[in-house]
Amino acid sequence: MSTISRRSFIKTGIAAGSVMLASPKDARPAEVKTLPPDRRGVLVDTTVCIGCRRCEWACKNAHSLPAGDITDYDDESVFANKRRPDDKALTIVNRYEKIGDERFPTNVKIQCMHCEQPACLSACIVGAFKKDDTGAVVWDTDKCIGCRYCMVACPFQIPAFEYEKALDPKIMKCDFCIDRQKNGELPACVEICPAEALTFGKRSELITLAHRKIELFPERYYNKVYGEAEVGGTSWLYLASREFMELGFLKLGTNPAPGVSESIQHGIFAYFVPPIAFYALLGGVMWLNKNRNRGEE
Amino acid sequence: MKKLLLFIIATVSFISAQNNMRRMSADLNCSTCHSCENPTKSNPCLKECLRHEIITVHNSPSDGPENIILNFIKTKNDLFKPVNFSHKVHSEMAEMSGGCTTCHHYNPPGDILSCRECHENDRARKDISKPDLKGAYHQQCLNCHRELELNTECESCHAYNSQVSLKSKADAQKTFKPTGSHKTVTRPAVLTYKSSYQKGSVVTFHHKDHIDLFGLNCTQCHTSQNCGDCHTAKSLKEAKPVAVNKNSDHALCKDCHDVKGNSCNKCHAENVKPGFEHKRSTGFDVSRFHGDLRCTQCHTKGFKGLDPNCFSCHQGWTPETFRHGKTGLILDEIHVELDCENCHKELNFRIKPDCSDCHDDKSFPEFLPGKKGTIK
Amino acid sequence: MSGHSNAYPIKAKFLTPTVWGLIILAATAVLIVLARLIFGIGSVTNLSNSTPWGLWIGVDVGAGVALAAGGFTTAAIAHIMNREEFHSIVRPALLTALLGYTFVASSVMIDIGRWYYIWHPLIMWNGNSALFEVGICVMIYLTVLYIEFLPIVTERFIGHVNLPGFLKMLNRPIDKFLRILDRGLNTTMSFFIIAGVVLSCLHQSSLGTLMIIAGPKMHPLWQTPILPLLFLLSAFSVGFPMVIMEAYISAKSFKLRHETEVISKLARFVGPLLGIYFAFKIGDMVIRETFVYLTEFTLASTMFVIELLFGIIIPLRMFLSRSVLKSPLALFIASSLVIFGVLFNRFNNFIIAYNPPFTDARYFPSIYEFLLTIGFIAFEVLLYRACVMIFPVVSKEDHQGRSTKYAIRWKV
Repeated sequence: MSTISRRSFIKTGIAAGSVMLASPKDARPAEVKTLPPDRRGVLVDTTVCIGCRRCEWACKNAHSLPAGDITDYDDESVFANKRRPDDKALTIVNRYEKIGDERFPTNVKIQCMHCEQPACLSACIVGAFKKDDTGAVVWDTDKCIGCRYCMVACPFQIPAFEYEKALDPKIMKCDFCIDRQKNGELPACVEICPAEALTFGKRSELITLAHRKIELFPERYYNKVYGEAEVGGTSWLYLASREFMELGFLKLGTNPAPGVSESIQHGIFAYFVPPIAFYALLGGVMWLNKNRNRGEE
Repeated sequence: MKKLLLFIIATVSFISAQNNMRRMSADLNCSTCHSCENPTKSNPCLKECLRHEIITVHNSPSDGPENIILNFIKTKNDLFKPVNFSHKVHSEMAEMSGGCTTCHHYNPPGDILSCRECHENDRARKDISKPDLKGAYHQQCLNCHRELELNTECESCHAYNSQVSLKSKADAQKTFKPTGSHKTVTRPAVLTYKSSYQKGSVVTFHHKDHIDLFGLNCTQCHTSQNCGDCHTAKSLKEAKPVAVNKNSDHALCKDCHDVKGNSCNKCHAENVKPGFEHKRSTGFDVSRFHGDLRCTQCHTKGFKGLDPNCFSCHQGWTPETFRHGKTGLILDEIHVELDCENCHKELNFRIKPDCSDCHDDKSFPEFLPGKKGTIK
Repeated sequence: MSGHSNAYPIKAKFLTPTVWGLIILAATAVLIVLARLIFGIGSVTNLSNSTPWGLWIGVDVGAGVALAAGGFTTAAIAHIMNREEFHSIVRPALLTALLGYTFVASSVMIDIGRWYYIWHPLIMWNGNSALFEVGICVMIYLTVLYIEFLPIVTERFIGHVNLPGFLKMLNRPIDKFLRILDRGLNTTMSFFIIAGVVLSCLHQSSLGTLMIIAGPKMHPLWQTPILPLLFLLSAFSVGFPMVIMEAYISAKSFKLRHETEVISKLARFVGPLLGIYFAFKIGDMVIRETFVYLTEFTLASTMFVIELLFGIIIPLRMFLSRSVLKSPLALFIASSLVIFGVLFNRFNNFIIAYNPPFTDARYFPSIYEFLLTIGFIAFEVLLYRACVMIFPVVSKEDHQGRSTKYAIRWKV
């Protein structure tokens, strides 16, 4: 008696497990939304950025966050620490000194990368995230329940949360100035950047441009466009003069971040077939056991 | 009549174009600029004007404008006044680092192109292959200013617009007006370098000779020299000597000197070497008559020694055209009339003529066929 | 299913000194909940943008769901396998699961930023999200648990509806309604029981899928594509130990006789289940070659070893021993170790393994987070105590069974 149930327990365990084990090898999200070919992006040339932090000011202004006076941003003492974007500043610039040559530090602007296949979008329990046709990954405030799973999922650790708010706390992250874009305007940071370290354009053209820059000035650029392939590609792309890992960039693979989890999800939930089959199996076992007991009686 | 006029215009423009062509330093053919075989006016199929395809025209700093007020970019709430750009000073500074092309990186023949002729004054533009005007200005200026000043303060070039709220009023008064010109760089005569080469650790570099005799320009060795190479941010007035940007020891010299063969001792020695002297090295004294010439005027490509016969170069010389007075002897009326070979046997001008060839009673140096002295 | 029951409400004094202690802990939790509602999550937790999930998700939700696995594992063995001898433990397990899931749901409510939108996943679906699956399954399963518990309520009140004053006239209709409800439930209960097991398997595993999307942020000792399977297997293996522990404590607390025979039979399943879990965990480690991290002697490797040694290896050995299976105390200790192991595993998965790449300081829960978790557990224990005293949950072996369901009740 006990052997039967033990065996069937093992069976169900293996059945459930095998569904999961089958999928992660080709870890691709089950359905990749076809993105419009003219989706936008920004190429950040960190060799051009001078760290004036005007983008921080413009960003806060564009998102109705307390911004202060623009001349406050001349203060370079903030570069002493490596900062992160948060709920009060959706983009920030960090400075990485070059050892032995203080003349050309590398300044790295950080904001949401606007992934091609965003982990936050895949993770969000209520589907509050959306990959817009402009390339922007945007968030619907009316849906969000504040579970912060997007923050767990994001490979770049970007979404921030308004922990201090008791009512209607929001997930805060760069929205690629989607409202401005819809009005035919440029993202605020791109517009204000004095040196055009931020080039706004079609993502495909930006990739071509980035590679052309590397080809023309191999001494100026490290031969890599960060964001071209990382986690399946991002709308924001970076050029740098040095190895990216030295500049606070994360070493990430080229598989989309939601790949493994989505294939597991779809493995378990393939059109509800596995759960229903499992239900039927259990029903059958129950019926058999009942009849057998009755027979014994 | 019309045809004639057209012909004249065409000829004039062709000649002026030819003149411009001559000023160019790079080899140029159609494919340098055009991507297709037969460019037309409607479809010139021009290539992108990027820095790497440099076609340069050199102009002297004084040819350009003194100052330019860069007021081409205007937005609603400009924080800053337009920059007053001292073009002349900057072009003088650029002389050491590549001339006009330092900034005018696309510098085809014809009128010098200003930044705004290629760089669009609109950030939301279709062609993103080159930065917009504001970006181009800043990228251009900051390349040097970052290096030179170690900071990127806007006030280095910009004056604040007075209506913009400022923390200190003093900032508003600040304006940047560079005037005057870049001080002429003094040229050293001789430089000596130490090398690790054992058989000759001293390399003597005759800087003056390389310019005056061998006709090199500053920029042929001083490639892409930056302001910061001489100046420090603390004191722009003072400058340290220009160091050559050399990648390897022989990189600069190898274009003219054989650095691989057995000619090490040409430059390397145990002591300071004297400068080049044509008579000592070749036996031919150039100082008397040919001193004004630069080496390359005779030593053209494929130079294999000159024919000592003067006529091999000076083909036009006849007794009428040759001013004998230049040699230190003004011929008298009688001898001026003679053919050259009457005195200079077999036209060998190295051998002094002997009076006794014609005159029994006269001999050198008592008698001269004229009087001593030179004419200009 | 729960038809032939010999369970009775336990008669005991509710307020003991221990209970008073629990009440104080629970009251503290209420105060913290108030503070969180008025001043926001930031005011009571150490959560940050780098560590968005802390103790409340790791322990209250992660471990809470796992430790409530007793409900579905017992239902599976008693009803689906139709093992009559285990019917007596179904109700306590069910109540534990019910309270456990209620506790999970309330913790989620406290932890999410917009608790008033908790219903959003019901109408806003995202099939790609593991959290959505967990959320939906937990919501449905919670409902199923309440439905499964309903017969216990009807059993308690049929024939006992005795409203005071003018409400007296409602006594009969309510009684009638309860009888209809009971009859309806009786015929459809199989459906709910199987649904409960399926839903449990789904969300127990999906709880493991949750952290997979965190990718390289997770320590490789825990980050594996078979994380859902490990979560499911650990849930299987922790279900019966929960029942064993809970039976032991309630027997001690209410001074009842230990149901040694049933418990020993139940305990025989734990060894193999734990063994399978152990095999997969070790296999995964060997295949992915993550054992290299064990030699690092970091916080992560230490926690992993503790989890493996005290949570799996030692109790596995104990459950495979005949003498342990016969001793209620030894079983209680072994079960507690398994429970500790799974709780520790969930804590490790959600908190220790989560290494945000950019952070100033490692997350450590605030005192309020601890107090709320402890207070909620105290609340759960109090509710359990109250429920077994109100409803017929715990079976008494020495009591003579009733032949028919309602007859005796009419007499009472």
